[in-house]
Amino acid sequence: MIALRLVHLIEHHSDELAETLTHRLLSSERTCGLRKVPTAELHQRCHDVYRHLSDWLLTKTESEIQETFAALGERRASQRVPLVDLTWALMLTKENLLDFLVREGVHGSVESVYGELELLRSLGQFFDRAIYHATAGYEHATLLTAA
Amino acid sequence: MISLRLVRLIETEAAAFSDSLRQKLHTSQSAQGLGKVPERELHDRCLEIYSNLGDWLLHKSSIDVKNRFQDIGVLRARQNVPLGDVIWGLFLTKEHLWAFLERQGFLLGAVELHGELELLRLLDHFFDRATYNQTIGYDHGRESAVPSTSDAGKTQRRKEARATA
Repeated sequence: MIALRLVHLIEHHSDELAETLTHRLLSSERTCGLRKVPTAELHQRCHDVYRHLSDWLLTKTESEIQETFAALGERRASQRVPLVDLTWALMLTKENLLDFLVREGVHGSVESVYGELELLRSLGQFFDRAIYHATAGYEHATLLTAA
Repeated sequence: MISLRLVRLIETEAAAFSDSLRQKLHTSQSAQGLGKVPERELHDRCLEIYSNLGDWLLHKSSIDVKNRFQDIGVLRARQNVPLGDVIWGLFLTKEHLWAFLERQGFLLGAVELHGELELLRLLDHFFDRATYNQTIGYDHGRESAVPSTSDAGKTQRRKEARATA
């Protein structure tokens, strides 16, 4: 993978990225429902994705992504976090990474353009699946509660 | 600067893109529920994005995106399409474009590659906002099918107060 250098850079800064994201999630109006989630749990979730990004992008299977994010959707439903807040949070997790690359001066440089293209595609595919499975898990839990 | 040449190419080939996307939607297990949407309507929605891609990415405001995709979300809820299938349909719409751009990328020089990178970022940004607003619209559509309660009213007002995506 051409983008592996960028992925390792992200993993190396996972603490800082998780910190920034947790702050953004707790201060954004679009994710205010996440204030119902204990801060330590929120931080740990953010950290898990960033710390093991190469695993998520390269090694984990579709069913592992499904298992993890459907469970996340179910948990947020049980915490009464609105689904749109969860959706936006997952989008923000990706955006936070891309903002980090800009801050690091990686974005747009001639050396990194191929890696960035590849990373953007992989991140897009991974987060699309994460959102899809989290939504399915959330909807399933909501249906069970209503029944 | 995004690659306008690629945007124009997609717009010119929009009808062919829409046809191949609809085939993908029909065969995808995760978008099965979209079978409840009339064929003509599905075709028009695909075409609406691809044939006006430059407008969606460069000229339409966040309010335009919000209004359009919340309306579609409301409609899909009323058509009883599961929300996961609605979301997957949008992801496939993006994925279809990305696969095309990836193939084009092999033919590009360094300068145009930067244009492609910017285009991919804009596409990602646009589809995230479309998905977010479609989900909000879907919730509204679902709630409007249920007798309103004071709690639902509060939820509705809170959603309306949110900043537009």
